[in-house]
Amino acid sequence: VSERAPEADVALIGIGAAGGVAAHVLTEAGLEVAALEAGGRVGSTMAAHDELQNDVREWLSNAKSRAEVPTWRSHPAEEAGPAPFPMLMVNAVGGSAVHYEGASLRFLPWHFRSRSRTIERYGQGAIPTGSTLTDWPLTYDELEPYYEHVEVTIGVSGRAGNLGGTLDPSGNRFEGPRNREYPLEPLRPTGWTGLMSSGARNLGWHPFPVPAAINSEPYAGRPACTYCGFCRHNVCHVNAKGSPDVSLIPAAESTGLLRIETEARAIRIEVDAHGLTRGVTYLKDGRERFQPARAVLLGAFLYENVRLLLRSTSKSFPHGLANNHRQVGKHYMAHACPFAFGLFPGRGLNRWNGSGGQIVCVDDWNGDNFDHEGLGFLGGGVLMAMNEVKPIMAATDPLPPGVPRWGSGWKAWLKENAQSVGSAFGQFEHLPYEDNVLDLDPVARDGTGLPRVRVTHRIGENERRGWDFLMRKLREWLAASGATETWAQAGIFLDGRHPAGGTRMGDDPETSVVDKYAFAHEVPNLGVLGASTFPTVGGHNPTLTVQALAWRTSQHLVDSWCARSRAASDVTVSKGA
Amino acid sequence: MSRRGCPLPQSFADVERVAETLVQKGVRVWLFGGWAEERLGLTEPREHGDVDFLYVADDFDRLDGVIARQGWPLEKHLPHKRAVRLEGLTVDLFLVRRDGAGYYSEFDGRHHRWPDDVVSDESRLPVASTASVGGFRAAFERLLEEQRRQQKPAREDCLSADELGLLAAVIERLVPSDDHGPGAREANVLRYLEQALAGEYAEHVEAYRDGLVLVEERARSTYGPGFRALGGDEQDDVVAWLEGTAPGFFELLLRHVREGMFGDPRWGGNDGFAGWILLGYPGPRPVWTADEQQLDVQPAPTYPAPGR
Repeated sequence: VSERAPEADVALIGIGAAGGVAAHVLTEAGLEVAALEAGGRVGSTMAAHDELQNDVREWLSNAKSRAEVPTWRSHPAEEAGPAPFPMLMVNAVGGSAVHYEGASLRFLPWHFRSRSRTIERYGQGAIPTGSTLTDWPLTYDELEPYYEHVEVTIGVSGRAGNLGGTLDPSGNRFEGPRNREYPLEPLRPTGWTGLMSSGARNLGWHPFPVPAAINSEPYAGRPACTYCGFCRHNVCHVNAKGSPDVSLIPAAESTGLLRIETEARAIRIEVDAHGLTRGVTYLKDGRERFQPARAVLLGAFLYENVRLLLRSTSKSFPHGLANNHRQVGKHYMAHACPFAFGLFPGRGLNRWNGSGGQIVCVDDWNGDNFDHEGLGFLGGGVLMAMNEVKPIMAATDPLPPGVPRWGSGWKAWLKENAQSVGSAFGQFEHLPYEDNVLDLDPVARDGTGLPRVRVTHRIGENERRGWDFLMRKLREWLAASGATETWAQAGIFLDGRHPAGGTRMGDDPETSVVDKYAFAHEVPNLGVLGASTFPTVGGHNPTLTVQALAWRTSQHLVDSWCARSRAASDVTVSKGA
Repeated sequence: MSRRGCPLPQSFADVERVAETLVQKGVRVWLFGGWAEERLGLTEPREHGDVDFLYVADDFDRLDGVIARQGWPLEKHLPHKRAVRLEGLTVDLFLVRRDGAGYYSEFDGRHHRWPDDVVSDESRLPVASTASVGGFRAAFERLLEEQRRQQKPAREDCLSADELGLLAAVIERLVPSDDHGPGAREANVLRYLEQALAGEYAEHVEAYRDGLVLVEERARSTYGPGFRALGGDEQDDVVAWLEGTAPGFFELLLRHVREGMFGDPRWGGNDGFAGWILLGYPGPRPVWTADEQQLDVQPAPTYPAPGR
């Protein structure tokens, strides 16, 4: 019999980018929240300006989370092996948002309607065979207020490109209409991002500074960014990054309504005889404990969300929780990130510094912002150029053809050119496909002996063409900015840190796991937070959309809770057994 | 031969399963080593750290192809042996070749001649012949005795002085000391590797050891003397051969060398900030002003950088 924690209104599994938002919204509304976090607490005093510690050995993605990294195969007939792509994630209060660079773009309106808009413009035949491309069950306009809540609460620095329909060329003219300006001015441009902005303008493109959850000036009691150059894979050394551990969670904890259980590994979501969740069983200090709750929000990273559902089998849900329609794990996607490099002979590009959020973006090749007729692929992705280059990275990046990778020739090239190499990258939006799925690996186990998630993912023809297209645009951009020679990284690089799908959001229980508020069709008091609910992966960084959806889901829970309390204010709630 | 931390097979059923998996992929093998001794009644049942098989072929080309296609995790890549992870076990496959005089193998530079009946068993779990298993065991014991006489203790957890000397010579070819400035030697990349292999990278010690064996064998078989006695161009040829032949180890080594050359000196390498000076990296600083972020600005290094 497992130990029993005091009952909470809501059990929250994972308190990261999504869970942090949920904790904020729920405690503001007066609900009691018990958060089960697999990691511990990290803080600014642990920050180090040390590439080996942060970027190479990835101290934040500790051994435990490394042991949980999913296995990978590209075809169902293969045995899954180690993932050829980065998939690291942080287990900590604040989650992977502790070590991200804060890029906080909204999705474009098109991203919510990509199927119907594609058919309208290019016809039914434009949807690739086998693709399960679908519209979202909500529009950009429905999500807009929640985007704004998040931007204001965590502090996003940026410039509106479309303020209520009025376009501003210093922001992103392709974005959906916004109700208000960003709460903070954009992070300052650097010599390098300025150079790339000019290059983009030379091409007739529309560069804009990335909106980032990093303080460009003091905000919400936290100081401004110092542009130290050690943002990625690191805790911010001055708390200028609006990661949930500093922007959302402290206030939620100060209400006295949020209890965070750290080093607590959720292993099963439990259901009662009616098929409703009644709490979460978790492991702490090697012992099983039970957290009873009246509702459960599952807000771990995508892979863990899917794993927990598949592992939570019961009489009512023999194939895993909320999986009687066998939809859990379907429609896995990720961004493919082409990187291009350019040589600017004699220039000191001075990229050894800066926040990872000092990025210049181009959205001209994202979504349907360009004519796809004859291109053979759908969608696109944002293009970005950024600072924050570090020495090991500079010595590791791909070299132009003909330059040796070691020895005297290599040294000579580095000495001559290391200051003069620029780079840019894109985030191509993979389509969802019938065959790209997540399930439990029959062999591989994590450190606690539980099965790991297995990814089956094939890169389709649409994706190869899209990759090539973005790569050409990246090289064109570098050349227009002054590069005399450009080159591309070899192979196709899929970023497993930007995944989506697995618990698709939709109106139809036959083809989706959660409804438009992200509550499970089959389990009405179970909500799912995170990119696992995305019907499509979008052509922008996912975090802000994850957070806006988490806000909406939490608000929906609060609203229905209040409605029910009002309707049954005299009913004593049974604690169950 | 047992390896700490590896689950041990418990029964012949496990071994049979592995053998069947191999056969299904077209890899015909004969059980060998401890399991064969047990099967043939030469020894009492005991625990085994791995499963040994004999594999009859001219070379490993086909087997390497199967391993790559199946995605079996490769643990060892040696001239005479491949070790893969299969069904949760470490599976060693020894290459047995054939010439006019019969079957033979090369083990660590030693020539071993097999009895003619070595692979005559045709059963479901074919076992190498009693004479070959017993004969190899006897030869192996003689070798151990010889090594004991030479007082060469086998060190499991770190590289020997000899191995470190060879490693130093290899990494000095990767980042040579030349007209462009100090190299791996001056930057003390070896110290970085030693410290890393003694800690966070301990799991890679075996890969280093095996990789260094490859380097030394290649040097001796191609040029006669060992790697350290060769001239720079010859050493480069061997390193280039390693890059093409054992990419797994080579990429690992190159990655670690870059870390030792260009990482923060607190990890043991980048002595004298040699790597940072080479790149023109001005060092970490907690605050960068707008002026310091402009193009063609070279902020003063935050570390002592003579001559720059």
